[in-house]
Amino acid sequence: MPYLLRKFLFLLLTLWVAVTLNFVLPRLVPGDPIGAMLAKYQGKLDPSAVDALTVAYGLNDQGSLFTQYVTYLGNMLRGDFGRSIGQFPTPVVDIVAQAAPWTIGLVGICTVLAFFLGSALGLYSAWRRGGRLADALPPIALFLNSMPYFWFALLLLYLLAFRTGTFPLSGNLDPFLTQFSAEWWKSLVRHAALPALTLVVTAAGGWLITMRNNVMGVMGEDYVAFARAKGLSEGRLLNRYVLRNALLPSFTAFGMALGFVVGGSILTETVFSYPGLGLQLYNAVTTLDYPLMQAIFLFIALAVLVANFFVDALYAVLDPRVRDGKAG
Amino acid sequence: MQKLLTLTAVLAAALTVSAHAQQPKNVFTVVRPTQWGAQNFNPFAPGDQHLLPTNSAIYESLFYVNTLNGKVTPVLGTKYTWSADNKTLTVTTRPGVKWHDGSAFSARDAAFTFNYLKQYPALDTSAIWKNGLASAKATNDTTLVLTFSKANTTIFPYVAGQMIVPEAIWSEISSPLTETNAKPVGTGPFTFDAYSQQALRVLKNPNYWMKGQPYIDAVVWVSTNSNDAALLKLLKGEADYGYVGQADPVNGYQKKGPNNQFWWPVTGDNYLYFNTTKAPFNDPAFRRALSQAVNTANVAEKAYAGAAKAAHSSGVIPGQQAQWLPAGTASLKYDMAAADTALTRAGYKKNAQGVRLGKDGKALPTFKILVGAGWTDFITMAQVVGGDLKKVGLNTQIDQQAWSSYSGGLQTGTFDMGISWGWGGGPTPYYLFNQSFGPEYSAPVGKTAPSNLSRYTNPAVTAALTQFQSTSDTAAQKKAMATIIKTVMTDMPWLPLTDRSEFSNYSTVRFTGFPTAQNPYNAGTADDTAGARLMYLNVKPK
Repeated sequence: MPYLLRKFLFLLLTLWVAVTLNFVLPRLVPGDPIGAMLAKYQGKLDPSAVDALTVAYGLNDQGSLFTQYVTYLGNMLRGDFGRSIGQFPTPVVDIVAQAAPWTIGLVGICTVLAFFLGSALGLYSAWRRGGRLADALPPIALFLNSMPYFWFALLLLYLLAFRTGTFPLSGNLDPFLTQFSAEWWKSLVRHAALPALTLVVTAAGGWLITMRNNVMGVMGEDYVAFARAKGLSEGRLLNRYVLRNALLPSFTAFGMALGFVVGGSILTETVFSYPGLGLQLYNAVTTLDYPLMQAIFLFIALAVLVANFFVDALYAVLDPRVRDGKAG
Repeated sequence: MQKLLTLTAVLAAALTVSAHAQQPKNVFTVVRPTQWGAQNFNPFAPGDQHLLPTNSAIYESLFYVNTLNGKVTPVLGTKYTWSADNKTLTVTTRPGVKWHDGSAFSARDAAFTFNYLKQYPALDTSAIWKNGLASAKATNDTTLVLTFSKANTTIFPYVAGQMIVPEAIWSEISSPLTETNAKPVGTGPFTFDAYSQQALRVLKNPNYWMKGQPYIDAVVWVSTNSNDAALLKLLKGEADYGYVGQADPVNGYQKKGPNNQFWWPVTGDNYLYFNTTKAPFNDPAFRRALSQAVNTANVAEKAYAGAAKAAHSSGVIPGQQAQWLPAGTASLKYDMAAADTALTRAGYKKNAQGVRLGKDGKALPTFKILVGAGWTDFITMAQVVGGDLKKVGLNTQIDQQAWSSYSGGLQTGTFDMGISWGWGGGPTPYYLFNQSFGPEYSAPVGKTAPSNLSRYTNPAVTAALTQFQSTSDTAAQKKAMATIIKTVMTDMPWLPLTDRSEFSNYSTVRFTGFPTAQNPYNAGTADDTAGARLMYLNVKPK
């Protein structure tokens, strides 16, 4: 079977497993959303409203587990994720559609940025080993990478937003601006600056170390020594021999990182009140909003799988052995 | 082409002008420590399922009943009377009120609203029909007559607080529970203007029925996702008001700026609930002895650093509901020695190691005290309670649970002891006692009890609750209340620990007219309540 087709079938299979787990897990979790809601109102909501709400939320008896599963799969295929419980009666799809661009925009761009920035610096640090800057980079990177993300975010928030007021404390936009106007864009960038800075700074260090190690490994290989002995130019050596081989291991990790954009955004978005999927997931968990939780979990699973699929495809381009089916 | 360009230029100019004209001048900013959901202004959706301005700025109820003192402020209703048999409530509605779309409000809209709740029982979240409403009719444009199948004066706050909607619009809506009502039409002092996940804005209703009010041009709600973030906005002066809980409002907010004020009126208590379905907590003598063994003054001091006081052991809030407390009802006194003797006398002896034994002679197990995970105030309370009980030979252990297991445990009756607030409340102590000890709010262990967490019922209490409910005579109500308080203080199904407050914080830099202890025109309640509407009507730019 051709390499890519095999990978694609595997993607479908994993997706089905994810969807099924998504169906089973919430049904195993203790607690019931209506009870939790009733509790939240501290007795201000009359108990007789509970029966009515249970029906309204679709949490009443829905037939056997198998029927529920079939209905669930059918709904999923039609893109119907039900209505949110925490933000009733908004359809879950609307909430996801509203939040996703913010997460993908902020965390997605930052992940890519951190990868390229970190990898470039890692390459530089390995290639120019012995130079003052090149040797100073790894310890700095280790320090930044091992710094607790939460703590760094709060520190930035305190210094740059609370004390100096250079950046806003929370949110993604100033209110009441005309969409896509100059003011709007300015506000967008100002709001994204701090969360982006934390994301890039804490993630880039990791990529730097990985890339540096890869490059050093490759530089020790015989074919590099051979190429150098043959008198290839430094530029050609770097591009054709070192970079290409050193990038391969990083790519797998990069694919995973891309997939985890949504899941990894929870901390950033909670600290900065950035209204993306991570914040929605956090809220969904606290309010036992199963439909919303399910949709976001599925979104995460889908993102991870698709990203991996693309990395696999890219691998085939970068590494001829994979394409020929002789390795991997 | 030339024409088209000019036209575009004119249009663009017009748009800029209107955009500028729309910027309101005196904007009152409210900061929220939580996020909000999608654009939903359905006033029938319970609690925070709808957006914040719904019940405070856009829709109005017949009356506002202040839970602090029971004072009734007329809103869409101007006056109400109960018939002699307390089965008919006649409400006079306000003439000359206009809906936001310009049509006239009348008693018929009010009658429609109540009948709508009957038609769609899921909307009746305060169970007005279930609790005996038999018919709702408008006899003319300004008279609403509600008849009840049994005498039920205590339902008044629920009737008074029901948001009234226009018949012309809602009679066309076929699925009101899932209706998001994105363009709300109410009678309130503000009209909806702008929505986003970060901020909501309502603008002054120029045709509002109170002449000259509101004094402000707009209210803006800004969302943050934690108390800390909300407090920061208040401290930075980016918000004028915030309903934000803090450990120490004096040092954390008030002392950080000359214009920082807070008003945290006591509106309830925190309780130690005993699970009366479990031995030995099913023994009133045991519960009473335990209650005597806990130093509640120390609990309050440790948990709130002096910001909250020990509760009166009747559960009645002394400040504003003291008139319901029978004369000379003293709070249970902390007396460790007496508690120790009482336990032994009730059949719980101590062994040689000082460990309390059950009636069967076996050592009592370690009892769990259920609290919310990470809730420092409740955890501190549980520590003090545990320390005090240790002194009378009882071992306890703090059981921290995440929100859903915490509330689920309390409601399904799987706990030994648990710390929580009063599940229920209102302008008289009746509402708390009814929801805490009414049989209809209880359930067998394993099933969800809506609010009777102790699972305690007593025929004497149930009968007195019915008596209280069926009369509008204050003297008769006081007599019934005396019975309830006496019985509860004898049986001690719970131990009231400390006072519990609302969390109104505000800055007087730009506005005056906030509610205060001297002028308690609302109960310091959250920013999306009928009480908050009174604040939006009364705050004035400096």
